[in-house]
Amino acid sequence: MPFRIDSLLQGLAIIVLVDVLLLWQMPGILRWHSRAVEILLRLAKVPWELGREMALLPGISAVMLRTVYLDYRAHPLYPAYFAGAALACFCIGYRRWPAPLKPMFFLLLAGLGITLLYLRMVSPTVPYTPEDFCAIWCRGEACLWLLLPPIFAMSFFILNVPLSLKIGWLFLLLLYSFLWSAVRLALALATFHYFGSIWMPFFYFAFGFLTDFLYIVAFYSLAMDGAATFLAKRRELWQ
Amino acid sequence: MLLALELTALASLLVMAVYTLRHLLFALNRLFCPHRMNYTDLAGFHLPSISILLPMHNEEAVAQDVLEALLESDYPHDPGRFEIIPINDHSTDRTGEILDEYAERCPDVKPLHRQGGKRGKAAALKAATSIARGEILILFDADYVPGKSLLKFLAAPFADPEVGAVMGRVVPHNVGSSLLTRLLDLERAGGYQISQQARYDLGLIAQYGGTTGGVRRTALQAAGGWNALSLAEDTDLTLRLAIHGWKIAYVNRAECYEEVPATWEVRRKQIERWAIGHTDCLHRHLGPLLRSPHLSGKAKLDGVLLLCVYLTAPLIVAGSMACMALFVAGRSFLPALTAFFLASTCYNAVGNFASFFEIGSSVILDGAHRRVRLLPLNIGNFVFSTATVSMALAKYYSGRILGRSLPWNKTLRYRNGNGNGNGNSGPGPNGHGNGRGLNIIRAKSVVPKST
Repeated sequence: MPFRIDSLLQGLAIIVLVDVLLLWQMPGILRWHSRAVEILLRLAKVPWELGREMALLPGISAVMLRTVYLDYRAHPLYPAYFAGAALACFCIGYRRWPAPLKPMFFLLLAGLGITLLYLRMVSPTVPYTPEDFCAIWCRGEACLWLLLPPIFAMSFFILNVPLSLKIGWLFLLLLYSFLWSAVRLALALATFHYFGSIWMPFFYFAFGFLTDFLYIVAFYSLAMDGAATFLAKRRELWQ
Repeated sequence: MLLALELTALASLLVMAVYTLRHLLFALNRLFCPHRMNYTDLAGFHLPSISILLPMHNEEAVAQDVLEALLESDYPHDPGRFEIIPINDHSTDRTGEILDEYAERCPDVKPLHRQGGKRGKAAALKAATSIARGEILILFDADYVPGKSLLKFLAAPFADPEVGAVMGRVVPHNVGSSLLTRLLDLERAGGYQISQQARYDLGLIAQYGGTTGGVRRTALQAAGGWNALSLAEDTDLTLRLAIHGWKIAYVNRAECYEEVPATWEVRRKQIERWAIGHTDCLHRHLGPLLRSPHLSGKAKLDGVLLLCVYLTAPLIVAGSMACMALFVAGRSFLPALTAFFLASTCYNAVGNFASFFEIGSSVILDGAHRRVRLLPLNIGNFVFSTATVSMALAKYYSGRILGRSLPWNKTLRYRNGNGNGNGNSGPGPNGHGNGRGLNIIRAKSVVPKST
């Protein structure tokens, strides 16, 4: 049988173990994450300094990075330029783009449009300082890191393959998740520094949650493929 | 204003969480719980009289394949027990001629030519049912190619007098045509192998899909016959049968091969028709479903979720917009946002309506693992479906308000690689179908794909 119920119980035990381990090591992981972002910001020539220490999860806090956004008060037309350019790209390329890309581009436009309206009608700056954004990002990612073991345990650990294979994939997924999160946060801060905060909703939603989900599914699909190959070799696959 | 946005985001979160839980339960039930009687052991022992109905509108490219496949079937071809009624519904191409050629050669083929009256599949089926003599009506779309033993598998569950309809499994045969066909293959696998099977096993409403299935004539009559006004006559009949207390059996082993849309434009029209027809059924059948004395509480709950499934698309759009506005307004609303996006995407992000877990598990059960690597690309399919369904429902509700009726869009066929965009299928080099689909099915039927 390719799936086993006792493997699900095994998975549940591992969820608890890995999550306890992650919670215990979370301050260290966040420090390492912050260090990676610092290195990437230095490469992108974005000035930064250490900011406030902010609470991320109950009992867990970390020092956030402080950068500077492009000030739209000095460049008041920039937000409109960006939104206009995106709209022009959307209109010009609409007929040529593959159908699935069109709604995604629409979401980008919606994000830019909503932020533009806010910047024009409510305040010339978004309500989040760079430290706030870092805190929101890290809080979301820390929650996600804790959710990864349950997601993976429910979907992958039920397979009748060796535990080492399952733990190996989970370890790889977590490692990738830490690294990719640092890269995306650095990219977001660099974009805000050079192009301003109008891009914030795009980075938070499309480059945040949506991208998180994509790599989880990508890892799941690769892990399932590897597991199925293993099962086929053992001639245990249902035919 | 902010309160309204927060309520929208929370409502989206709640609804999507319910759907996510439903799919998770389906997958776990399919993988770990015992299966309900699937009647396959009776295949070949219970052989009721059957009439095979094949609605066709400009199907010259595929008509030959489906007729050849049915004539090759191992169901006893006794007069009085087996008949094929291809319905030429207002065709303007050579479909009628092809059917007449077959009628001359094979006495089992009894074509029905319709040049007047209401167009559309349901109207065609209504006309054909009136002349059909079989106790059981088996239905296929024209682009389907049934395997040799399929009819026996579909007829077997009717040995149970409570069974009103039977649904088989649909498997795409043009998987390699484009990225879209590959993605749809994954989606179909999750939908049938996991979702349909689990719904049947759990005693919920398994969906009769209008093709690769059969319906008992007496059940059809008791439920009020075909609804010629519906764009989704299959969902309509499913609900009416369930409401009247008939059981709908799902037979995973009864695999039939279909041609899935190979371009996004064709897919758009297909989803649009499904979304409008399905949501129309919601308005027609929600009350009777909830009042039905024949359905259990869990079946009613699942029936409501099934009927509302297309409403989740505009809900996702509204939830996304609300979350974006809340974020910009300074309420990052993190826990709810995180949960909303994880729930909605986990549920829906890899296809039309199948969670990634269902698809991954179905691929393992089918033993066709390499295609699972394409799973992340189904995000495109999800975004496309969400946008298309949202627009279709906007069109539907504006039509309801303005009193407009919506036309039936026929799905374009690709059997000969045509794509003329007018909804018609083009002929092969010899003026008929080229038998490519049939040959693919013959090759595939050598080794059964799943248990």
